[in-house]
Amino acid sequence: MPEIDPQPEPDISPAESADQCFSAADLSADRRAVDCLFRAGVIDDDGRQAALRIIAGPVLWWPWIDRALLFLGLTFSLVGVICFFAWNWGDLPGAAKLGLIQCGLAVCCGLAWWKGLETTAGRAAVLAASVFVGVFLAVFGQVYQTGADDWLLFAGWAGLILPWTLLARFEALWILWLGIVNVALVTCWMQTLSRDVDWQFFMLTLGLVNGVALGLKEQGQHRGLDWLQSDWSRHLLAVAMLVPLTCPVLALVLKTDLFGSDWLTTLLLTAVVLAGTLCVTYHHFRHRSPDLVVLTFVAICICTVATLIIGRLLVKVIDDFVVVVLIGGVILATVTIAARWLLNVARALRAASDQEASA
Amino acid sequence: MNPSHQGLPTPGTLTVTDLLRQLEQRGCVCGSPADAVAVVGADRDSAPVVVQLLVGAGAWIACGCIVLGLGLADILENGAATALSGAALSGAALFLRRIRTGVFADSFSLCTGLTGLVLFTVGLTDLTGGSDLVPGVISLTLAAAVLYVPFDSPMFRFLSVSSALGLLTISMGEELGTESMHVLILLETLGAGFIFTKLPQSLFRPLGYALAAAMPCTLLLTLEHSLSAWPAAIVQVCAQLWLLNFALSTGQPRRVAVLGLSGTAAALLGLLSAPGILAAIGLIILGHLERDVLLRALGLLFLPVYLIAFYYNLDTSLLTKSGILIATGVILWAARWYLRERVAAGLFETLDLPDDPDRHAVDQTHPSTADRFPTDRDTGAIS
Repeated sequence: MPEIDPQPEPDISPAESADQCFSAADLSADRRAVDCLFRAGVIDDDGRQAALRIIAGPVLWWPWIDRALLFLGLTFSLVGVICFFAWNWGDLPGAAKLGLIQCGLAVCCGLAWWKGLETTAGRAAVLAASVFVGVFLAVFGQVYQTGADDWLLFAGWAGLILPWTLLARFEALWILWLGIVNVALVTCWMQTLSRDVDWQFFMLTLGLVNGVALGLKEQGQHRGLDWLQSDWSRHLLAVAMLVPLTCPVLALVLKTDLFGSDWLTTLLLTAVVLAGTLCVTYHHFRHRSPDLVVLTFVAICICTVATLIIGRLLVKVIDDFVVVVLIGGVILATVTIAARWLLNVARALRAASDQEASA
Repeated sequence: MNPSHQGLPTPGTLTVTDLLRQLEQRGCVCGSPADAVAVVGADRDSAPVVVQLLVGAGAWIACGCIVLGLGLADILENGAATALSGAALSGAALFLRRIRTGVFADSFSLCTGLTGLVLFTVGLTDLTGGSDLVPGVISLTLAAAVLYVPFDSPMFRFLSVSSALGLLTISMGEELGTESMHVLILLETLGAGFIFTKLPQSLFRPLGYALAAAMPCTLLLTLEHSLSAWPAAIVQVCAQLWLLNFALSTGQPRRVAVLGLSGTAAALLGLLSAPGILAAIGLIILGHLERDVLLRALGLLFLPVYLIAFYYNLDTSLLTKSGILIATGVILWAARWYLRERVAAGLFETLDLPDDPDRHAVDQTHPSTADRFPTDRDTGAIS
């Protein structure tokens, strides 16, 4: 995990330097600029700290500690609760187990009501209540041996917490809900649908479900909903959308005789869906809501598919181990092309940002 | 368009000139502002961190394919020739790096350098019989150390050091005795902590990232080898205490009460839970302290990994684990409650409580607190 590439000492002639000074004076001051000044010896360590405070604003250490302690404590406690009920204590009657969980659920709901859903503590309480619902369903199945499929547990869990997920306006809870929906879909396919539905079609569905979630998040963000402004969920959803859409294409490229086979229709369908998704994603994150990280994910998808297709063709043509070396070369070439494109995009985005800063 | 999504600052807020003016007023600028602006302008063309990660991953996979292909084609049978080819490739990569003219030369030199490093290690290991890993570890460490300064690519520095540390950890597991992993954990923790808090220069940061990434991985391997957890727990508790002391006393008088409480909480966490959990929390704190997204992400990535590893740890029953985890949660909540009480009682007269708008307004305008505490609004690139 490296840092920003420290370029070699800039070799600037006096004329170029003057030009650059003139244009660079209006560049926006960001973390990168501070690091660059520090590397060049223009500011010392104290200057670096002062510059970081200037550009980052006076946000304090305490709110972070407060949130970190709250959510770390919550994580540990909830995992502890899960461990406790997973242990399946024989001496504890079923009703007592369910009663304990319901008590926890009631306490969390009461806390959320008391603190309010707009506070961090209230949101943490709703998150905990959502986990308690899942634990309740699991223990219910454990006590009464209902014989129901696992996917019903997850589907029921997602259904039961949906109302307060809608009310809470808390992004982490939405992500938890979507995670449960994903698990429900996967277990449903594994337990009931796998005989009738190809895994390729299932992965397409999963990718599209996550894609719809990403689209809704983007729409909410575009409308200025405060609780949907974070980047981490966007990146997570982009990965959750692109990975399931790419996997079937990769598998089919490996499996299919590219010049005609039974799988060709499926390959074409998955390829069309993936291509369409990549186009829409590119257009949105390049022009409407620029995000270099998501564009990098798009580039990785394209590189992977392209490398696999070229590698497949090379293996067909060259019957020797040297083909592995050639595939290494292909990987390097595709990644370099992608990096070049991303650099151009980054420059364009930065230029737009600098222009706005100077305005 | 939201520039923060590109790792860019909010437009219209501050230019480099404004920043330098403010720093000059504080007496923090050592050189000429015109030169400084020129340097920033020249740096604008360097690659963002995601692009560097992409190039690094691509070069590493390509290197793997090339070495595998050469191995399968029986080209690497002569150890001396392989080691010499590796050295020659490393030299060529260094030359390419020096005269690089674009992205292709960058990624090609990176891939060539990594391939050279691997071939050199494979060749020397082969020359010494090829049955044990120690010569490989020594040669890889030496090669990585020799190339670290002249090969000025942070990605190469990170990958070469990580590879050496990875091979060292594996050899410890297989040949040197698993107990020696505790020494490695100590060195990795000390190294990462020292680099990120005392050596902010960019030259050492790839080494710091490699050590910070290797430390939780080594801790994970101690679980695999069923090693005793207490030496690592002591190391992590001490590291946590030192980090908390550093964090809470940067540019301000020490708050003995807070330090004592944090120390007790850290010691209890170390005593109760797995050292890996403490290491992950340490990385998150270090990331926050250094305003470093990658360190925070590393900590957040390893925290669930350790929780899952702890769940599946067979040494203790689920009931014990449950008790430990709930107790850990309660300790953290108690620490939070205590700190909130102290804040409300005026211990930190300028700290803001997030749910208290009046206090927040006071804190936001209090310069002395802003000077004392690190900030958390950086969404930009990592240094």
